[in-house]
Amino acid sequence: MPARARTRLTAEVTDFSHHSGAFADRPIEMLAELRERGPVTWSTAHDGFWVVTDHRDVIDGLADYGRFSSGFGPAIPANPFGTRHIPVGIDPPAHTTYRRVLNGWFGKAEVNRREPEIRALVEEIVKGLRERGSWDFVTDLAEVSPGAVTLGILGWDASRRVELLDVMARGLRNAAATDPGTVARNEAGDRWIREQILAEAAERRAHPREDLMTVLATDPIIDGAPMSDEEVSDTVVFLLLAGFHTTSGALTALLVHLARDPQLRARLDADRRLVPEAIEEIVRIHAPVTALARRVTEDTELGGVAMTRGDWALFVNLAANHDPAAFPDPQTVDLDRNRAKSVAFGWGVHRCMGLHLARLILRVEVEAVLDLLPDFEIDLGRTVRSRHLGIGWFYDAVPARLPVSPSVATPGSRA
Amino acid sequence: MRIDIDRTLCEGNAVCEALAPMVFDLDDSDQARVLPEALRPDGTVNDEHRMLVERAADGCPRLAITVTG
Repeated sequence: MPARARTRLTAEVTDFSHHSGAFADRPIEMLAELRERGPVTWSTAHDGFWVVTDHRDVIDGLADYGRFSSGFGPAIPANPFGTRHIPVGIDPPAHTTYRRVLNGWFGKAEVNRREPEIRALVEEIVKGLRERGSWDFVTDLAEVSPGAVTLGILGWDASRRVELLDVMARGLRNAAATDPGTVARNEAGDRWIREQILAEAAERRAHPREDLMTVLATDPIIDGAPMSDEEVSDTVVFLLLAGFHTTSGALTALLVHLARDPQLRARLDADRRLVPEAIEEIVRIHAPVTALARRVTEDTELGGVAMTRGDWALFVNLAANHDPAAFPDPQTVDLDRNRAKSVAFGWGVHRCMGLHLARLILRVEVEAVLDLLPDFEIDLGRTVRSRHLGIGWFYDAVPARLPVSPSVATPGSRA
Repeated sequence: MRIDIDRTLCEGNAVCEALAPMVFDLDDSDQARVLPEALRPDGTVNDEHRMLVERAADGCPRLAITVTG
């Protein structure tokens, strides 16, 4: 049997695209079908790429930056906001230099220090929802707090959140577009966001402050010199994209799940210590980042197929986290399972830098919702999952409300 | 070689476990450790995986891993 695996160097061929409507319709089923055909298959979509769907090959590949390079950007096709994002689009040793500057700002201790201000921000938002009585968890909470916290760390004015979110969301929705009009709009969005970044950088060079933007614009980071405009821009555009567009998907996935699973909701309500476990389990099942691309640096073998230098490979986190060989009964939320090797936050040197911040924001959000909106109801009939599943597991709409108070509707009150 | 992990710095990012899974993993409290089976009786680790161990030490976001000898 082992000999067979080593000689089966021709791969199954499909036209799988993670950006297709067919994938958005039935993502988990489609990934399971691909994995059945082989842990690594070849897709003819997007000019051709390897699709890696089993857990073992995903973690082996993501850990091996020597064979699988991030240096051409971690997306297929290229991210509309550029491919040299720092640090995700850079391999060691340069990656290590950049990441060390950022680690201090996103480490556990620094993040925990921010908990009181994050809690105050989130509770204010959630109290606002309570006063309104009905709201949408996507636009009114999930998209608000992560972006606001990210801008706070950078030192940007919080009032810029909505315009930045709009431009980035439009670009990501059209990540796979090829028609000239949309491509031109994506390019204009990228130019606009980089102009905003360089304006902030110039402002910090003239008037330094106590914020990450000042560090990125002025600190001697590379061989004793500050980063170039391009490097600052490639760093901040990544921080904005990652900060705005990942945690939001995780919160709505969890809340929608709780609406469908009253038993789990009651368990979390009774024991808040389970909230972090529930968050980890939900992001395992509904990965906020669906897949990570790498470029093959040498002729090699993975999962029984022969790869050629220059090939693209897509490591599908969502598939690895649903591989029954790694996570038995993978679609079931099981707070007690061993998920130490969940790749929801990636794997290897590029493992999510914002991991501790995301966990904290999500925990505080869930606690605030359970505490301040204890009877919230989600309208599952009007809940809409995003069609852009190739980016991550997001919702476009999660309408919710508090139960209408019986006293308001009592006819006798008119008397 | 000798591997020291500063547990006051480690915050369980699991980069070491990803890069050198035959030497590191996370314990029950999400802290990195050298696998018992990788340790020799004198507390040192076989040089066989030195390149991956050095990658793990360089890649650790908290610089919690020191390799000597």
